[in-house]
Amino acid sequence: MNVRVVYCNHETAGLAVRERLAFSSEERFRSAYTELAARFPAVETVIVSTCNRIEMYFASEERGALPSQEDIARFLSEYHQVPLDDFYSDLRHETEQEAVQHLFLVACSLDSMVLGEAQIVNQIKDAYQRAADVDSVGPIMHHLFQSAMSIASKVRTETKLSEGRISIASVAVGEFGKSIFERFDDKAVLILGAGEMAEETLRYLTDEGVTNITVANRNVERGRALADKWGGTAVPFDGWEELLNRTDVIVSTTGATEPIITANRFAALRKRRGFQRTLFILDLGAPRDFDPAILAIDDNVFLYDIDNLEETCARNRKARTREIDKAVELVNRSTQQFMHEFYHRRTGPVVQQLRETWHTVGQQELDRLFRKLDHLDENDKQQIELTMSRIVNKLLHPPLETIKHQSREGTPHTLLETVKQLFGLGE
Amino acid sequence: MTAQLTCFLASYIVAFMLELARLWKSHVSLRWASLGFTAAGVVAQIWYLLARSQASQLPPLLASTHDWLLVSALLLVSAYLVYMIIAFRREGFASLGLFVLPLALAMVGAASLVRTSPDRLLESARFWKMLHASSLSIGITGVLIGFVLSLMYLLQHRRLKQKKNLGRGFALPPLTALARYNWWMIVISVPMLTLGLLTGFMLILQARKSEVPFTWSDPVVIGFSVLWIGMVALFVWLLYSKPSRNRQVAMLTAWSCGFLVITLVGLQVLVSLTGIPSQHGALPEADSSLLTRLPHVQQYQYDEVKP
Repeated sequence: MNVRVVYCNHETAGLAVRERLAFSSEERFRSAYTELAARFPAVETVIVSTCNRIEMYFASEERGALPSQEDIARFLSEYHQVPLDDFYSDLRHETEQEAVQHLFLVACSLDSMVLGEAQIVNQIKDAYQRAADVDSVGPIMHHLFQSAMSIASKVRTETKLSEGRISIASVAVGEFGKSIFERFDDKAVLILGAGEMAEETLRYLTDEGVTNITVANRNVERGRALADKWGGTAVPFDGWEELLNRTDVIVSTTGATEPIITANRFAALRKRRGFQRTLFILDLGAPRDFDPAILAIDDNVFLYDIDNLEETCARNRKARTREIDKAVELVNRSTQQFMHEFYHRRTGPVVQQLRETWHTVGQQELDRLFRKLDHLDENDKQQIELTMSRIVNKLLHPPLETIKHQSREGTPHTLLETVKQLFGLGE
Repeated sequence: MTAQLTCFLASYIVAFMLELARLWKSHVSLRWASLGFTAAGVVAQIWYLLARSQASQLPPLLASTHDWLLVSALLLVSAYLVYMIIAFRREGFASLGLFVLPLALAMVGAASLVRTSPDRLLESARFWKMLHASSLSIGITGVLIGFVLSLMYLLQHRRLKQKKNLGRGFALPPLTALARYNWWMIVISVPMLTLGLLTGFMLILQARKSEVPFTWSDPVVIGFSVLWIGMVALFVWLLYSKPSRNRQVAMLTAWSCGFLVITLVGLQVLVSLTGIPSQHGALPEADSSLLTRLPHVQQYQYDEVKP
């Protein structure tokens, strides 16, 4: 098999390099495939481009048709208008079995920055689909990428690599928020501060159906920008306490040096309406925005700070790490199996042709013999046919075993050519 | 071939063991296996009750205290089974079996300790007795489910307040869902228990006109009446309290439901074992020819009740 991958990822290249080499739009992908097809005809190509990696897979039925690492680097340099020296040392390349294994590891999220993350397999699927849409994939890539997705699914179900949330925001919403509220689409969310963490948490909350969002930020413009982005309302920061009894979820990331509310003040506000609705507070500020004593004020307040959430993240990360060996073992086995199946498939037509030719010759000779010996009854004929079949199979056994043995190491092109020539097998 | 009590008891025990095993290995096959054994238990239990019903020529609810308890256990397990199949993908309820199955096992265990012979007073007040037994059975099932939901609520609340993670393979539903379901269980079961109590009183009044010695001093009647007052108080408080007191609701429900079930079942077991006169479990002057036709009696009780 002729397969090559050239790539850079979060481990080999900095974000500045990855940004310059990324294929950032559908248009860029299409033009890249057109350019690659012109440069390397008869080569199947798939480009995987995400924020953490740029990978280019090449495969060909023809020996020597694959572009070299230098060819690919040159293409990247010319296409993105980036000097070769700026990124060449960041590129890595693998061929044959190592290239296959690399794709499988990537698809199974074993090569990801966030181990076990689920996005990568969808990104691989999208990349494969995009390449198929522009006719850039052939039989090898079809088989390779479909196998990669199937193995990713197998690893996900047979190991706990993707179990447990490992980001602060996802743990907050997924492990605690969803244990408090049955649904989020009727919940009012108050965002205090407009930091990155608040935005990430909002992403998870909106995924759960939250639409009622209010942002209170000291910098009104920033607050309004965040509110506009998520379809919420911006309010002045000073008025946030008035919203307390109308809010179900508070996400706080103000960056204040002192708590923004004391336990006594909070208790007084809670008592104001008499009815104390369930309140889920995510204090993502460091130092903390909410006095920890608030938790004990009443039964319906659930307060979590960064440390509480990080503890869960760390434990989930540790649990995933324990699954790495099992997942890698699965990938290695799958790679071996893939290679074996692939080589077997490559030698299959020659083996079948050889069998058919020899058995046809045998049958022709038997037909001639039976015409001459017309006294033979059906039973005699069957015995002779059986003997002939056994002779042909015994004669075929050594060459077929040799092909089978050789194909474990790779497609035995030379041997197949020799067999074809020796036994007069056509294309 | 007749189904025996041990058939479904064993099925529920295996199902419970499988639920426990899921705490270590949460594979979907274990979940299906657990539901499969539960379903097998339900089938065996229905078969058993039908066989007894045919032998006594009485509906299972009226046949005896033994049958009544088994019908209540059957309702509980069936409700659990149906919910688990419908809500198979709702991860929060995945550990429900750990709470329901021990209760079902306790009910079946209690059923094996109470009277298995047919009740008297059947011909004269069959309709009212049927209404009495069925409303109490539904009410008790609701109370049992309420008890399970309250325990789950309190566990979930405690873990969220203490910021702890659930153990591996263990799942609990969201607090708001538990509070809502719990509220409905109490609101449904208290009127059913009330109906059961009122029809029970009516049966006592009827019995006073007949030769059957059925009195107000029946310990089961007294015990249940006292607990019923507690349940009604909870019911009224639930309807008029502020919706923010979910934890108190869960706490009160757990205590009152737990106490009601333990007392009611316990009293029936007690009167059966001690022979205190009661229409709800005391050993009767039974018709041994009928008793020998009942599958469970043949195995467990015949020697005890034979005159």
